[in-house]
Amino acid sequence: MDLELRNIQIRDVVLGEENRLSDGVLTVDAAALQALLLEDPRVKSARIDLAKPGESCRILPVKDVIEPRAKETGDIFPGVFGTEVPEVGSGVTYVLKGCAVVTTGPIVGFQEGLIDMSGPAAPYTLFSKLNNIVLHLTKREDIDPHEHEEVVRKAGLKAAAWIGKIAVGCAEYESEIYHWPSLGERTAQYPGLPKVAYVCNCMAQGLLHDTYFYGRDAKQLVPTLVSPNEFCDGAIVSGNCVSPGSKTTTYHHLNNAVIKALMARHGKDLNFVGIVLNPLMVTLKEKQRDIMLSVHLVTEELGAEAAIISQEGFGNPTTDLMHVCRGLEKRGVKTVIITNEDAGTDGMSESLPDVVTEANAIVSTGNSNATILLPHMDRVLGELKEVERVTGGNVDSIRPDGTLLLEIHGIMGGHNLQGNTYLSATTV
Amino acid sequence: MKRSDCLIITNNPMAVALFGGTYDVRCNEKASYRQILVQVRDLVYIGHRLWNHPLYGSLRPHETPYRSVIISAVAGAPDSEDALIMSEALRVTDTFTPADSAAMSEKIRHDYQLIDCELLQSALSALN
Amino acid sequence: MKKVLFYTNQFFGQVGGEDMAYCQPEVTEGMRGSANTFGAPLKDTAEIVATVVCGDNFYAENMETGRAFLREQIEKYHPDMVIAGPAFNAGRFGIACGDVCKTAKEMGVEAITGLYEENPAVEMYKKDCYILKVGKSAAGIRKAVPLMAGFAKKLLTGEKIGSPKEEQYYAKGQRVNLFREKNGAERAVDMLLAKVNGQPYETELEISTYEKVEPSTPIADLSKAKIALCTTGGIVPFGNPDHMVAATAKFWKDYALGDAQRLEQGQWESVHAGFDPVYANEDPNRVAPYDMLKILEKEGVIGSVHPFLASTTGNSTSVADATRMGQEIARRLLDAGVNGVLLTST
Repeated sequence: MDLELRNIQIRDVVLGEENRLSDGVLTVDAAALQALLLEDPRVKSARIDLAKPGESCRILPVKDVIEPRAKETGDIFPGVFGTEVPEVGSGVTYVLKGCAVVTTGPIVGFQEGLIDMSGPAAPYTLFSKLNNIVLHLTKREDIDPHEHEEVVRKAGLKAAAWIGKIAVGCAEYESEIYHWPSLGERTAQYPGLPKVAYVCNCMAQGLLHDTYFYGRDAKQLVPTLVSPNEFCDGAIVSGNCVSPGSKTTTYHHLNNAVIKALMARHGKDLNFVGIVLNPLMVTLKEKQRDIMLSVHLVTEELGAEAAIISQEGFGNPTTDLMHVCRGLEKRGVKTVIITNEDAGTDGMSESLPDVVTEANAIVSTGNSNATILLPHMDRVLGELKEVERVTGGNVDSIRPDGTLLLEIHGIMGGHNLQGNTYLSATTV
Repeated sequence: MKRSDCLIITNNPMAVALFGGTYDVRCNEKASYRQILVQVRDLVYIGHRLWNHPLYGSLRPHETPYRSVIISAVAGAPDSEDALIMSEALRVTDTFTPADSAAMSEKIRHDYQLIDCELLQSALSALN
Repeated sequence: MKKVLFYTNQFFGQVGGEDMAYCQPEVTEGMRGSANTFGAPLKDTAEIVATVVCGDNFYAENMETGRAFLREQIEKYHPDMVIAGPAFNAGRFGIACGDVCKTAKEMGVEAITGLYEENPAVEMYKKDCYILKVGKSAAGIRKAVPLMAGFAKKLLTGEKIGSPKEEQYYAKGQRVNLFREKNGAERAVDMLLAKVNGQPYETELEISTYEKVEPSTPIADLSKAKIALCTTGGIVPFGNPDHMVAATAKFWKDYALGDAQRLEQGQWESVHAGFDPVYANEDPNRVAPYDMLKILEKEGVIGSVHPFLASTTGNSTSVADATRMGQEIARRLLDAGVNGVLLTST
């Protein structure tokens, strides 16, 4: 399987009267985009705004962030729309780098994180460095939270796919090739290099705690072998809306940092043999089964000697993370895990809710509970007053002068557990 | 006819409304997040088995005030892994300042109850 | 010029030896005793405005008085920093230094000391102040002074403090966020390649792990078993005749209980410094439930009660000491034909 990503760097986005891409400036036909979003009869209104790097602008509450992409032929985000579930991972995919679709609007009253386009929170999230096309959607009154979540999730994906199409045929791009031969060929190549597998944990627990695989709910999934190419083409999308700092947005899945880091060393220092997508379930029996199956796939199927496990969410997922780590180490697979910490506001508490002795190589993406004082922003996109509680803070933490005291896990992607962040922690 | 093999310990009134007809739901609305975990821990100590992870979901203990834990209806031999999970869950809970449900608006409480029930539903549909 | 208040004990303050360990705290303007060795290395940055000298036993047994005296001096001299010690491996002096630093920090004044790694005060106070790593005995003073003075200067001038390893202080155990040069995924790959190639690597989060103790099989017939009571709650005969310590215990005691049916109020107390002992002192059985064991014995639930209480203080005790004490206690109990132990902690 070969996939060519044609990356087009976007340096500015403007809202205009037609869709156009020239000289790195993306013009989006605002009226047409709005009409597209209103095609869904459950959407009452759709407002489109732009938020650019360096602006005094806060987006809140954010549901998902999606990079605009389109396939030369066929569908990006397979299985989400339409009646067919097309195979993806081959051919040509156009990618609009440097910009994103951001969906906002509260589904429940306590939900979601923020993106500040400037100020002290900006360095924590890669989303502050993007030209964001912000969709603020309101639903028809009679729609329940389930359907509301679906409406907003699909609206974001639809907009990103539609905007992505503007890039199709563009001649100025940087090409990136994902060559992914069949399993037998993969394991046979580079015999001198260590075979490395990647276990990608994803939330699969219920409303606002879900992931979708080819458009289907990951609660129905068992640990499954997935190629990097499928990640790039949107086979995995996010339906996870809590714990913003540690949730994996669709943008993160499309640009999975572990896959990128492994691909960069593939054929030079290591042989990247495969990815296991591991759903994080609610019951202990399901967890045990999925832990066992993940270990089984990495060892018996992929024959890996080393593995990286990435993480999503807070609390119970640490059990999955630690026990997959233990299972792999016991089978002789050298393992590194990526996790955030909940070490308390003062950093003095135990960092993790579950540990095993085998977890002796940990990459930390920082202490979620550390607080940060955010200044007033001139512009707030979203519905601040509708949100009584922001994860990592609440309205009480909005001070009279407009500043906001927040735990850093309230920042979207603030300590992303696929390691798509520079944040870490150390002991003093 | 209620399912006789499991028992739901909760402080979420919505769980009674939604699942009370099918499952044995023991609800104490006045109990805190922590008190529910303590109650479950004590039941685990005397041999009830844990069916869902007590820190299910991804909301932290200072965010949601609700917990619903499914355990076996009958007590057997105490399981040390289950006991360990419960004691670790309590240790983690104690590192957070608990959510004050009294200070929350009706809407927020409702939404937290709803999410809790959604997660509980996922767990219940996986029991067999 | 910054101001430093110096704290030392009777020996290093040149009041006298062990015979003067009960001397009351006193203050001298300027430098006195070992404070003099800090004068020169600090001189461009700070001046030692006064030296407090206090006997080790006095401080250890009259902590509130010692603290009050220190607070007065801080209010009088308005120092920017308190430097205490170094106390090397001296237990009481170490605790005094730690407590002095903690008191200063509570008043918003920066404070540092220097201790040897086995000094019990390290575990007790490393969370409260910077404790620099110094040698075991006073012979280490030549290395300790430049290390402590250099670190003091950094703190006083607001220079960035490096990692515990770089600066040679005991880590407080506090997790602090920072931004690294590579993203987490790239670091994970670097770490993985080092691990798989057998090269050294450093985990970004150390997990403290303890040896897992396999629980023994249940006692088949409790009604024939001899049960002993053991506690780490620091329960001792009133007045603490054996000088059981409040923390970092290195020994345990076996107290004969004879025909007693319970631990009577006023005859027993807890010396544990890790919790409020009021309720334990009111009814020592709350920590060491000898009364319940005797009731169960009477009811025939258990065969007999071993008429001794094995007690120590489980507060910042090192794993090595705890393991050794556990083995000693187990040996004693096995010799006495004990079948089961009820171990209570606090």
